[in-house]
Amino acid sequence: MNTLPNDGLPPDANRRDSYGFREDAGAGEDTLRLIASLPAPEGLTDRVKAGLRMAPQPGRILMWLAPLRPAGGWIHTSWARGAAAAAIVCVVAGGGWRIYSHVQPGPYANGIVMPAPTAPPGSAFSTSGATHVPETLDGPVLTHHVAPASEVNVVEKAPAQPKAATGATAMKKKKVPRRATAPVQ
Amino acid sequence: MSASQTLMPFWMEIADRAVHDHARQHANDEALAALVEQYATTLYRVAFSVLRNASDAEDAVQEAFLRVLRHRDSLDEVRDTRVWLIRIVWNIVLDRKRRAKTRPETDDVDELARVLPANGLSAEQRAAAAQHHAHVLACVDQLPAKERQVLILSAFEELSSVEIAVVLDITESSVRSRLFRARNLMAELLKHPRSLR
Repeated sequence: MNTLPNDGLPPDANRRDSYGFREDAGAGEDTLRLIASLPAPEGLTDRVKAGLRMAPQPGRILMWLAPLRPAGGWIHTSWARGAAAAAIVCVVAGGGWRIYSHVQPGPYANGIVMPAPTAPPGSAFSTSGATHVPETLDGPVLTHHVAPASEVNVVEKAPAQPKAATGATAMKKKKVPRRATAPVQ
Repeated sequence: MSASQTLMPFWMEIADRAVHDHARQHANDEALAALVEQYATTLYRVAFSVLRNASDAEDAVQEAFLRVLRHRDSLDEVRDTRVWLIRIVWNIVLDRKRRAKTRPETDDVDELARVLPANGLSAEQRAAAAQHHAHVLACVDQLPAKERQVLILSAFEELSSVEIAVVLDITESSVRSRLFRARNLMAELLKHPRSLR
């Protein structure tokens, strides 16, 4: 029945060793054919059948008991399965809603209530009741009156000065005698 | 119409369905037993040609029929049962061969000496035959996987090249070209052992 071609064998296809075994390319196929024709061990089929009998049966999906199984097989139709799935969803959602509707939320707090300090008395790290108030809260205390910003004289812009005098003029100006002050009597 | 008369067809139908299921399961079991009876030997030889160990080959056959048992409901859809079974066991033995550690060559010689037919040979001749076949098989093992697989399957007289192609999931022309290469490589290996390495 094997229709495979026998080509591909080299021309020296009949070399044999001292025991009469072929030593050419056909030796491999001779050996493989010999192995392929070996008889199976005794009792193989019986052992295989026994193994199949002991094998676990394939699992089945929660079959109805025969007397209770609905006739017509409608229970296995897709719409019946869909209805069953919808019923399960309804039960789960209904249970969740029932729990949600029975839980009353407490009144909302209007402010944040800080807990009282729980440091034990005499603790080495206690503040001894002192509260830290930053000094910048009330600002620095002034000892004299300061006019408001609107009353402060605004320095007017000085008029344009004439061109600076030259060096000689400047020296002359320096020589201008000052008005003598009245002598102290 | 009384209630019992109304329920009677219902119960009758239930009973019929139960009987039908039981009969179908029984028929499947019978079909599976027939498959074991018919093909267990062929599958064993295929498994042994790859694994070269009697107990490993028997385990592979057992596993193949367990897989068939799992799909027994779809047995009717299989076109060629024999090739289908050979393909199952072929995949199993290749998987086992891949996972198994390489056995020393002496194990092959011992196993071959045990299983080869005596045919009136002397002890010396049997030992020489086992040695020779083990050497040839070692050369087969050196072939590339694709060529080796085709060569092994071609040794089965009952498998045509078309069926080998189905088992290996390749085309028939690929089977022929791989076989051609395998024979040339085997000739080279037997002339110059280890020349492929």
